[in-house]
Amino acid sequence: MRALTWQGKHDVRVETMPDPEILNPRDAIIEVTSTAICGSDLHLFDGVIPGVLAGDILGHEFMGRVVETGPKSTLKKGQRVVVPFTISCGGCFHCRMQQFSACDNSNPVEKQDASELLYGHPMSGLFGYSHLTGGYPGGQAEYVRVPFSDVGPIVVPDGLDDDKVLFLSDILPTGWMAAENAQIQPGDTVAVWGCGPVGLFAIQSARIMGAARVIAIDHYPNRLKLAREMGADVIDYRQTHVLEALMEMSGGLGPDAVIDAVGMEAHGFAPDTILDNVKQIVGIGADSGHALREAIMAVRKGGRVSIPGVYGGFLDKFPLGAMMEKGLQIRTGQTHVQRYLKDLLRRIEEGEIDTTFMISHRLPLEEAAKGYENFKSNQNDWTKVVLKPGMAR
Amino acid sequence: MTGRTVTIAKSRAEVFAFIRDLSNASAWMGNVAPAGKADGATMHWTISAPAGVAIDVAARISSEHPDTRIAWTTTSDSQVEGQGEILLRDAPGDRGTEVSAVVAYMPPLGEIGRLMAKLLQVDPHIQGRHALKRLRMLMETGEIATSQNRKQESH
Repeated sequence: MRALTWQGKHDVRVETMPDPEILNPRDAIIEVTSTAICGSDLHLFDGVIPGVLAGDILGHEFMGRVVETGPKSTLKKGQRVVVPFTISCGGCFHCRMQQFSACDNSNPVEKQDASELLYGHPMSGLFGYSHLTGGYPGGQAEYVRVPFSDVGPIVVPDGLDDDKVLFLSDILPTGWMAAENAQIQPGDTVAVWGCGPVGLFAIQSARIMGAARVIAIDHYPNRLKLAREMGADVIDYRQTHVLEALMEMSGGLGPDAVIDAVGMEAHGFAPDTILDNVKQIVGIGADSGHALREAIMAVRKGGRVSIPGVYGGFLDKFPLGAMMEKGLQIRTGQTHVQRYLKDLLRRIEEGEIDTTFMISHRLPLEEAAKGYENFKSNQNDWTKVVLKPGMAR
Repeated sequence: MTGRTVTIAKSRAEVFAFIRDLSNASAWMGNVAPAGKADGATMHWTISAPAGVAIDVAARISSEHPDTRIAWTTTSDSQVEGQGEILLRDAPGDRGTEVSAVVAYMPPLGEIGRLMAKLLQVDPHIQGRHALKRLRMLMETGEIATSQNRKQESH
């Protein structure tokens, strides 16, 4: 089969790789019909995530048709499914508590040692996201082996196009959980850093959850435009002093909740970002935390900080004093996708949530490298790239 | 000596029965070969070292207390002496069973013994932790997680 493989920093190539097989009883094999490039894939592309080897297949946002099932799978051949990026067994301590992205049993035992060393506890298995998370071949491919197929994949009706449901795999539940983690109350003002897909879905979710006002922060004109269409007021951080603007836009109190949908590769030329970026390049590996630091400064006292943005290592100069003295609540984590799928699919079916608005480009799988390059360096025009295996060039 | 604990979402009776059935052993312990005797209480396993060196361990179950404890000790044909035990305790609430494994090896005297001692410090510790995780996987999911894409792939 054809699949998108990581070959080095800024080097991804579609290669011919062996087809997957059923290995465990609860496996299913999915023939991929649509798969997207994620903002967090760019961290892999930029080489800032450890444990990626040449030849690894990337991709964790995918859907398609079931073509083969193991004897204990509950799926049937021919069913159309969206697959969560989280691989979850359903039976461990964490899965039983609905903490699906913390599953204890999905990361192969020998692979657990690395993340256990790094974080104190081993990470769960994810598709296509380095050997820290198991080294599972990902979904930017023609076929994927899906473990625990009785827990993860959700069956979607044929009447809904791929574009309408693909983002159930990751970014829609991620935006939703980000808003949920902000514990929004009626009357709240919520500020969101980053108008990429997760930020946009967080804005949409915050509105549904009853935020009175949502303020979105970015600098790309097209992304700010999309945020405005979602019902947010916008701040271009290159034109406006963010902290002052947020104070004025929240009656002098400060936003009640803040959402960092930027993560470890924050942009910009603030002194702290430059220092973080130098450290990343040199390999000391400090995550870049400008958006997070700003969010913690901006949020009102006693407010809530929600962090869907992906971080991997250590952050220098974390404003711990601000956090403590202001009495903040911090909620973060990889999305517990399976927790949200049924409810979000229903909202899509009922027309309450639309996901197609943010797809800017559809490319054949064979042109995936072009998709990565533009998604990274042309972020104004390339808001979300969906790859289609089998689409003609 | 090395020890480790996992919590398994099953009852003590189920965990005990699963461990005591030595035909399950190779699936979770790794490197376990079928035993020579058909008495249901003996087994062989290997501690592996770099450069293909392996230490063969032959052991038998020396005592058991139903649903609570299984202890083993090496037999005379073992390459190294050792003993170990698995202890089961009720976990708090409805979390299941806490399973602890303790193992101690006593390498022989002399140069070979010193080399073995170094090996035995590291490998059984890791092997033990991995084995307990595989036990939990088997009991909670019915499978051992693998990220291979096809059968017979090498890492």
